[in-house]
Amino acid sequence: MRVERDVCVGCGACVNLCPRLAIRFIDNRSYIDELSCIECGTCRAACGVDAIFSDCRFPSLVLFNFASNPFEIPGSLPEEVKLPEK
Amino acid sequence: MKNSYDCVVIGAGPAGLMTAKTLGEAGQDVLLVDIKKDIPDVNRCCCTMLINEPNTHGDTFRIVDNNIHLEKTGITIRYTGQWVKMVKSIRLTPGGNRLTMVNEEEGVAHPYSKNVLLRCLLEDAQAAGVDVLTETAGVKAENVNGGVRVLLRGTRVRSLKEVRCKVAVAADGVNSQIVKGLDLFKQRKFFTTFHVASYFLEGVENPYPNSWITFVGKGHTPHGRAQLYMLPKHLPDAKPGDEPIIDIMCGTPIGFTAKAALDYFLRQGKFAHWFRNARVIHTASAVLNFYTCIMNPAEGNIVAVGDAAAFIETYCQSAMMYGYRAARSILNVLSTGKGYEEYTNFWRESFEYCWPGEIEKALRGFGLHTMSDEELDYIFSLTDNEEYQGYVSENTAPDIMKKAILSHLDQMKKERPEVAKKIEQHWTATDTQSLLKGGLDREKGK
Repeated sequence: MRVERDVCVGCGACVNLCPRLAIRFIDNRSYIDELSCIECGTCRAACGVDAIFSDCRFPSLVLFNFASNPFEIPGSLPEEVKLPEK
Repeated sequence: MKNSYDCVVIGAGPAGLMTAKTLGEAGQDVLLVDIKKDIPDVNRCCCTMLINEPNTHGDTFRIVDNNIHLEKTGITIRYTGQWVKMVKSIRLTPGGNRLTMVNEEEGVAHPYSKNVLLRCLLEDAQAAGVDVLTETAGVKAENVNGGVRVLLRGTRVRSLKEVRCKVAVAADGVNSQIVKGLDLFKQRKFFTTFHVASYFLEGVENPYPNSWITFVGKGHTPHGRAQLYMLPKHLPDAKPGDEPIIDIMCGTPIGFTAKAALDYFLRQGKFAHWFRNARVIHTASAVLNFYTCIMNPAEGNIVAVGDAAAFIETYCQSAMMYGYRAARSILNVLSTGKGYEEYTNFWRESFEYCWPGEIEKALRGFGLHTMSDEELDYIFSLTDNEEYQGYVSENTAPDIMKKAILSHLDQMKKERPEVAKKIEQHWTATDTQSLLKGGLDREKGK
């Protein structure tokens, strides 16, 4: 998780919630120690102004490449999933 | 900073500062701990209004010589900033229909600057010899033999410190970390989490000056789950005669973003034209966890004051009052060794949400959430040109509103029977009867 320091208003809501004690409160703004952060999202859920975001170390959606899938049924994939052209 | 004190106060809000100041003035050795670097710099949302309705939380709060005077407690709190006298409390539907409460003489409420209040209290506390430790959060307080052991953690360097004291005061607000570690906390029931975001705005074309505005209905935000309030307020550095700025705040249940809802309201809402030329000068935010009150806010020698022991909030004014009462009680305990009953009894008797059924009543609301915007517009069109005597308060204002709407029930039954039916369903027959008769417990001052 990371804090957008310009958006953070410094309400302090996230500071004591962190299970890893990764959040420091410096000059009335939150700061997340990324080496300690386990991306649990507790702080993001607590933020009222959406100042905390994930840097996407773990993407929420992984698209597998099914291009070589022998069991693929034509038209079974949703349209927005573009398969790489050969 | 020493290793042992008479009293340690965790949290330097209105409650904590008042407790520390009172204890310090009585000659106690006090340590005051806060998470922020500059204590008067407020970044949490707060209406900061003086609710001047008589018998608010068992006392009557007045402005005397620009200071805050508590009539029954008999103390005066120094305040050097500016006041706004709000004379109207307006409930506004998306269609622009209103229900207005007026109090020209006394005002419906008086917003003030929390920064100035905290600065005054902090100056007084420091003058009374209170040690102030900033950038430090209270982690845990536990009763040990002959006193209390308080664990503190720096917010810049996250190292632990330990302090011993005779009495610890948990004044760290609605999400109190100290209270979470106590047995008292296990008796509390959790309701929900709320996010709040607020802006201080300059240059708002506000057609209702000096008014508290509640935006009723679902049409103000895309999901309809936000509660919006608007009030005029002075900045900390305001001079006499300055125009107040506008504080607009938006609360949403967890799962929605308060800031997104507020931005939508300001840019695309029904009243976006008020904010065409507005400029944001300050942003604040808060997360509120709603728990039932702590009925007996003293465990061993750990005392909870203000929001830490309350359901949602006690207002700044009452937080200071409870802080003062707790401090008097602590001084009594330190000198005579007797318990904290004086404070805890006063707390139970004066704070409404401690009374059985009050929280349920507040959560049930006025039944307006079951109405569509069109129905709300209709109901409020009936009261649009009327004015009722009242205050901004959680106690009497809902009843005045109910009464105002119910006085139009016959007309509603003729014109829109389905709306009248909804209202009657929500407010049970006994409620309706007693309201129409005017037999409200509150009005009798019960």
